[in-house]
Parts: sequence; structure tokens; C-alpha cells
Amino acid sequence: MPKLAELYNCKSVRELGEAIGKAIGDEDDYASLVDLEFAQDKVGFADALHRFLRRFLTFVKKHSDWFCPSQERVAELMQLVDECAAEMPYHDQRRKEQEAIRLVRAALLSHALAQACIIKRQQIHERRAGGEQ
Amino acid sequence: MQFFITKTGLDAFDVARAWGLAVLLNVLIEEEVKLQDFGWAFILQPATLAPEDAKLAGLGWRTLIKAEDVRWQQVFMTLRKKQEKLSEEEVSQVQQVLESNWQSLMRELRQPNNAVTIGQGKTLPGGLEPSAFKSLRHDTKASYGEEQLRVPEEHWALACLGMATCGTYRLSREAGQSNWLALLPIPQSVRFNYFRDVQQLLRPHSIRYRGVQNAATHYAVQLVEGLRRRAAAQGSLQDQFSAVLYFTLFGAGQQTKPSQGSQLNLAPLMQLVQDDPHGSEVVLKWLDYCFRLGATEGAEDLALAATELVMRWDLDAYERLVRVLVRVLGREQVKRKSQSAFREVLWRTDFHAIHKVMEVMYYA
Repeated sequence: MPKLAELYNCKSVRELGEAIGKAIGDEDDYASLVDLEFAQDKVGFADALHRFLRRFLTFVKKHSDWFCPSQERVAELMQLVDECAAEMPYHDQRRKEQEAIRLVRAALLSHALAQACIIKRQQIHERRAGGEQ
Repeated sequence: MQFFITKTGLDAFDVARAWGLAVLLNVLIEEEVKLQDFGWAFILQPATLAPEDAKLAGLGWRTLIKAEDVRWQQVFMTLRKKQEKLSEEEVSQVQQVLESNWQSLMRELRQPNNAVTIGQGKTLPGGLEPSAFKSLRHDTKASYGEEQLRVPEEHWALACLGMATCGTYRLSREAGQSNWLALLPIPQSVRFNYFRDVQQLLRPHSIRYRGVQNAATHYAVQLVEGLRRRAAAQGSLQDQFSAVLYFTLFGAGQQTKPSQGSQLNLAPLMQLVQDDPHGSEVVLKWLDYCFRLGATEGAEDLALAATELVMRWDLDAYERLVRVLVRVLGREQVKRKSQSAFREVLWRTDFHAIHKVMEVMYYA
């Protein structure tokens, strides 16, 4: 069974997770979070990621220092889901897929959480600096 | 020389006896006692042997009987008499039994095949062993009746001593009712020097809890943090605990009765501390502040999610905690009500802490 900590170190997971974290931390984009949480199969998960990237593109226009992860990262992430599903110790293919999605999503949201905290910390620093001025 | 506390299956009774014997040996020899769990029994190894003519009369022994932080009253709180008077009577009985019989008890416990005969002797109080408390304890008009769970008085006294010294009782309010939460750490391999070293681990300041499991898990996290600090100072983890045994006692009209309880497995967290006493600080502090923020009104789901993770350490519980925490970050009322805990969580949630939490899940 694949380890969560290994997935957490994957580049595609990190880039997409950080983008989700930025969207939540700065733009309160909880809709994407709900979208990802409700994804039950591979198609639904990939759709939710594409929808998020479309939303994220509009945020990137507002923030010049942000960059949008490429569509290739989504493809890499879906490949990761396939690899995880192959290693899952279940007989049912659907169950394998669902568990792999849960695992990858947990790694993705972990990065999102850490990144959202960074954004919130920055906001506090900026508010403090603004108050001092 | 080894002493054996052969397990009976009554978990709290067995653990309390092991602590009781460690306390007794420690008072007699005034030296370290090694306490280990071997599955079938707790084996105790004192640094030296107590002389046969030794007496339980010194300051150490008197402290155990009289000190305010020894919870005698709570051990006997389920007995139906006037609480203070009863407690004094029972404590003097514990004192008397141990002072007059400790030599014979030690001789008995040196035999690996010693066994506790259930059904004779003193009744186990519900404040000590919740599973012993299972029926009506006085005459009623109804025909239902059940024998009390009795154990030999030396073992009863030993268990009472262990629970009163190393156990913890916390009063908490839940759903408008005051309950007692009883906690007892289960030793895996411990070097016992002084009963207050064990007490300290489970008696930090409490916060507002969302139920028994929530309280027990927060105390467990704080216990492991206490051990981690000791391990960081000493260079390695000296004392290991396998679990924390917990149960509640509630006031039911005329009598206090035990209710729900269980054991909380500490193995994953202990493993993390053993591998990296300094690095594990981030995980324990992060969990601690999740519990503290969860005590705030409006963040109850965070308290429950953190509880679930510490109890299970599986992917479901982890994912739930992450989802809940992401949402709590956006709740302005939580931020306003508990600014310090909110900031601590914000500052302590980083890639490193999350990676360490994943390591604990791997151990589990």
C-alpha cells in the first residue's frame, strides 16, 4: 500500500496542493474544496481539478506573484492515482480507485492546509505592518 | 529479585496493583523500581531488596496516606456512605492491611504463579475498577441481586494505593452534568522513582472538553509531551507507556456510578518520541493546540476530529482533521474568541509538522 508521506513529497501534489491552499487562504475558495471532497471516481476527481484550475486562473490575474500549475500536473496526479490504485490490496477495481483518490486527496489537502496557513500568517504580518505605519 | 502482578483480566485493577506495588517497594527501599509489562503479568524489579524487619512508618509512607494530591476520596466515591467519613475509614483500612501484611504479600508476589482469588475479601470500589461495578449494591424491593466483586484484602489495598497515587480524577461538566473522569496510565517499561513523577504526567491544566474521549486524548497527548521533554533532556526515552485507561463516574441520584470507558493506545506516539525526541515536539504541540482551539465555541468539530485522529491514526481520521482545520481557518468568530490558540495553530501548521503526523500514521 502506498504511503501518504511519499505522495506528500510528489511535485504534482505539492504544486496543485499549494495552489488550492492559496485559493482558500486568500480568496476563500471553499467551493473547490467541496468539489474535490465530493469526487468519488477518477473522472469526477479530474473534473474537480480542472474546474479548480479554471477558477485559479482568475485569481492569478489578481496576484502577480502567483503562478498557475499546468494541465500536465493534473495528468501527473491522475497517473499517481492509477499507480496508487494498482498497489491497493483490494480485489474490487472500484474500491481500489476510491481508496487511491482518498489517499492522493489527503496529500493534496495537506499541502493546501500548510499553504493556507502561510497565507494567513502573511495576512497577519501585513495587517501588523499596516497598523504600525 | 522479581515481583509478579499476574493479570486477572480486570484492567484497571491489574494496572493499579502494579503501580501500588511499585509505590510500596519505592517507599520501603527508597530506591528505583523497574516496572515492565510482559503481557501475562507486570514484573517489578526493585534496585535492592527490602529488609524483612522494615516498617511502613517513615515520612514517605505517611505522605502517601495524608497528602492532598493522593486521591483517596475519589477512589471510594461510589460507596454509599457519607463521603469524607467513609474515605477516612477505608484509607485507614488500606494503611492497616499493608502495614501488617506487606511481608506476606511480597512473599506471595515473588511467585510467578500467584493468582488473585476473586469472590472473597473486600469489594472493589467502582472508582477503581469500573467493570467491577455491575449491579445493585444494596437491598431493594425488587428481587434482582448480584454478588459484589470481592478480592483478597491485600490486593484490594495495593490496588487502592496504586489508583490513589498514580491515577488522576478530573471533574468535568458535560451536557449540564458534572462527571468525574478517571485516568490511569498503563506502563510498558517504566523506571519508578517517585509517585509524583507519574502524577505530573496526567495532571496538566485542563480545558473545556467535548466529551470523555476528547478529554482522554488531550491528556494522553500531554502525557506523551511530558515524556518527550524528559527524553529530550535525557537523550533517550526512558519511560514508556502502552496506553491510557480512562472511564467516567457520574452522579446518579443517591450514588456515583461508573459509565463509559476504554483504553487509548499510545504506541504510535511513543514510537515517534523514541525515534526522534526533539523532532516529535512539532507534532505534539500541533495536536495540543488543535485541542485547545477545538475547546472554543464554534470549533467543536476540530476537537472531535483531533480526538478521532489520536484514537485511530488512520487515513479517514487524518483527512477529516485536515478538512476541518482548513475550514476552521476561515471562521472569524473562532479567531475572535480564541486568538492565542488560533495563532498557535496557524504558526505551528507547516509542511514539517504535517509530514511528522504522517510518520505517526505510518507507525500505527
